Amino acid sequence: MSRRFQRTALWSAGLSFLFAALVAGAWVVKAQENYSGWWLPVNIAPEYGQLQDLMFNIFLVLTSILALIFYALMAYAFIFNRGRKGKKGFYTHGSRRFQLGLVAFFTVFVIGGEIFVLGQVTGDVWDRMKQGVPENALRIEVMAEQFAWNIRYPGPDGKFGKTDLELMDEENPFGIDEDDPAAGDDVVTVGRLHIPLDVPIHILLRSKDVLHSFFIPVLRVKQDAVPGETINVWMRALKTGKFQMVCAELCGLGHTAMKGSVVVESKKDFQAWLEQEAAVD
Amino acid sequence: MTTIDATPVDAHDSHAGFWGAYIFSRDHKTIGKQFLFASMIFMAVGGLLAMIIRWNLGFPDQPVPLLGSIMGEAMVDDKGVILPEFYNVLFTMHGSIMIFFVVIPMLNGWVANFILPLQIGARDMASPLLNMLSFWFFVVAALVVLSGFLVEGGAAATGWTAYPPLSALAGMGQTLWIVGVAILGLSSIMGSVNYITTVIKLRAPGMLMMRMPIPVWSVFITAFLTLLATPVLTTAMVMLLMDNSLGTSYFLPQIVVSGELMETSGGRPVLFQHIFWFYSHPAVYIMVLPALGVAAEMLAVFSRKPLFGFKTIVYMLLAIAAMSFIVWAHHMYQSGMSPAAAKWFMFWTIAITIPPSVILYNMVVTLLGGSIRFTTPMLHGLGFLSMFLIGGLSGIFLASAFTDIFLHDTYFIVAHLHYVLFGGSLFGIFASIIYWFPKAFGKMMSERLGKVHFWLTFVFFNLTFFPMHFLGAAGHMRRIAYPLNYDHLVSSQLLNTWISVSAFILGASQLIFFYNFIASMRSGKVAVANPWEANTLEWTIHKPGHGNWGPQLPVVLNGPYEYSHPEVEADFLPQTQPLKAEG
Ligand code: HEM
Ligand SMILES: [Cu+2]
Ligand SMILES: [Cu+2]
Repeated sequence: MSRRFQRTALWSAGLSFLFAALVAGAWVVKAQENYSGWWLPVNIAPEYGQLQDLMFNIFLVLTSILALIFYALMAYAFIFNRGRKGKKGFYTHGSRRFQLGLVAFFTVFVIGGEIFVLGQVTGDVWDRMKQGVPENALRIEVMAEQFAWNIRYPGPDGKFGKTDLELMDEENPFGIDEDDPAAGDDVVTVGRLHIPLDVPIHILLRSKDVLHSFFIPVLRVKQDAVPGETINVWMRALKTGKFQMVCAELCGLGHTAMKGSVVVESKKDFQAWLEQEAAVD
Repeated sequence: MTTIDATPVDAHDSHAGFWGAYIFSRDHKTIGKQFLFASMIFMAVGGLLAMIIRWNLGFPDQPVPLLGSIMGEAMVDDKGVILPEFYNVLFTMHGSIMIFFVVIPMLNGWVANFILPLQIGARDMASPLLNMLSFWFFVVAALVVLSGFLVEGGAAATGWTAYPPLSALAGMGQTLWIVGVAILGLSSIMGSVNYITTVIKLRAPGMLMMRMPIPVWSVFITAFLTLLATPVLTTAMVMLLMDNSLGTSYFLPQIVVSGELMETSGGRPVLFQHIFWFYSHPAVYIMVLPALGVAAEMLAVFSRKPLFGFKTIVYMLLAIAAMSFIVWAHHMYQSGMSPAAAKWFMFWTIAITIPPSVILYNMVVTLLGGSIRFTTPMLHGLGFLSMFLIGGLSGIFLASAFTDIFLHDTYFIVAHLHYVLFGGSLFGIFASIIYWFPKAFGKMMSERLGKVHFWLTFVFFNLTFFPMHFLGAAGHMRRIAYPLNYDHLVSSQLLNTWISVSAFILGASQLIFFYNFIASMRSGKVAVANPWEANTLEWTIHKPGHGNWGPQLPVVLNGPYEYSHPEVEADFLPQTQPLKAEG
């Protein structure tokens, strides 16, 4: 076997190089950040969205450092501890104290980091995102179905008309009860979510058939739509334009075509659009 | 304290003729090999499906080469392009096969069966009959799931997670999938009680618990996970089967499907997810801990050093096993579960990284100061160590509920799970096959071909799966057939093509392994009794027959990792050899 060990320098160099290349690769791609399609897309969300990206980057730094330390140890061993015939390894079972120290170190490091970063930053924002729907938010109902996004605005009266599953059909995807006085001015669209700029939006998310997931990459929101439940989602857009909205949860044959768009427009344009839609109804 | 079975096991097999000896064998070694062969076949099938997935993503709207013309009209259109509904079948069956019929049976069928009795000095499993049944239930389970390809409407298409309502509404292929997975659960349970009993009752004299090698420990601890978690999966499958076929509504609220009000009411879809992940999170450790055990063994044997922190590793494995039952809902942060509860799961999910960190650190310290032999099993062990690390690190992004909002259900998940399952489990599996090949087949696998295979796999594995992190970060959803449908993914197409080309090379490289496996079995170099100069008991018998050892069971005198002991001239000390000559 001995001759084979002599040639291991090649393996060592190869392995070490690859490890370094992986970590470096991540950073090179990150440097191209604006090249969309390869990294986090533009972020038009306020604080809650910026913090998500910030955390992503913090984790990237953290994990890169951890990976480099680990790979440095491996590379050290590959280079300096290659086997030779007759060369024995270093006989040690380590010590109890070292092991206790190791466990203590990782416990403090992980739990400490957890309390500091997640408790302070993430936990708080997670609560605000998932529970703290702002009071003055504009309410929009989103009803997912195989394979479309139905969207309903309460209209000028600010109230949604009653709905009933039994009334649902192709003409009436929400099953709106037309006898309800609040229903008359409701505006329903399919696949196009118009929202006003810089106004908190409260989405009442529902599904009529199977699971779907409401995902708008640029707004950093994702939430499963679950039949039988109405789930609150909120978001705010800081930039006008037309963006992609998709379904992120497998929902059947047409899942890969279940998409829509989000149109962010100034409050004035939004109001004009809403009135026009209401008139058409 | 240890029970000793001094008589060689009943000789049923030796009289049993061909069927008894090779097909319905009760010998743990034969059953282990049966698991190995069967799983290798399924690996080829699952791998082929992955290639078709990658064709569709890398070369959209182009007919599948070679296969396009022979695939049925439920799979491809008349030009030979994959239909989106068949795409759903592809990733569902790819994932299901890889998890249920490759990784789980390779580790908990092949490794557990072949190695466990040999490494603890037992003549066989506690119940050879149950062991045999465990294999045949596995075969039946696989056939039932795969038979979905033959029925009307095709095989299951709702992902390996089979979430209702979709899975409850699906047709015959899905029903078969559910039944098959339930049967597989029974197979796993049978295996696990056997492994636990065998370890507790049938260790050779002197084989104290803390003298058991790490692969045995990892299989033993995994068996507890299997035993505790799998019945829950079986329950979920039975309930889902009833929703699917008998009209119950455990998981179904009132719903309207294509304009029609269904006669369902009162159930909750999220309930299924809780039950499913209560099994499937522990199951991710079922899919990786034995591979970790194998990799740790490789590091010690081929560094010619004691496994550093051996006892700590054992305790940490136990800690992982215990904690794995309280983190399941990290798969469900965006499912609509209570956000407050999500924080609790987030806390434990991040806390559960402590024991694996300690283990990985001890593994890398094992290398330091070693006299490292870069054999192929060692390379695969190192592959495990370096790639599983990346899987663990990307897990941090997903464990934090907050960053998971964006990454959930994207290719970041696909990257993560392949680093853990392919980079982790599969490298461990390759190591196990190459390392124990001489014990199983009396021949050595070719080192030269083995190295070519390792390097191609290692390089193209990374070129295939590392860029998937970037896709995920760009918001590329998983389980979609046509990324080009989406504005935000058009500029990702170059990456998708790159990944596909790498994946084809990766897939083709596996043929080298298959060739090496078969060719070495026929004409490999004949193995000596202890080719790797290892300490553990399986290497004390040259060609184990029925009952493994002769009339005398081995008597264990040392721990498994006395490599390079200063008082011994050789750099290893078999567990049965006294430290100093008797005197
Ligand atoms: C050449 C090797 C492989 C390639 C190219 C590959 C490729 C893929 C791709 C592209 C997906 C995502 C499909 C989608 O979401 O649309 C996927 C899913 C998956 N793969 Fe693989 N894979 C390979 C090997 C493996 C192995 C070895 C395992 C397990 C040990 C595995 C387990 C899975 C699982 C569990 C899923 C998830 C399926 C689902 O979404 O239900 N894969 N694979
Ligand atoms: Cu969908
Ligand atoms: Cu999990």
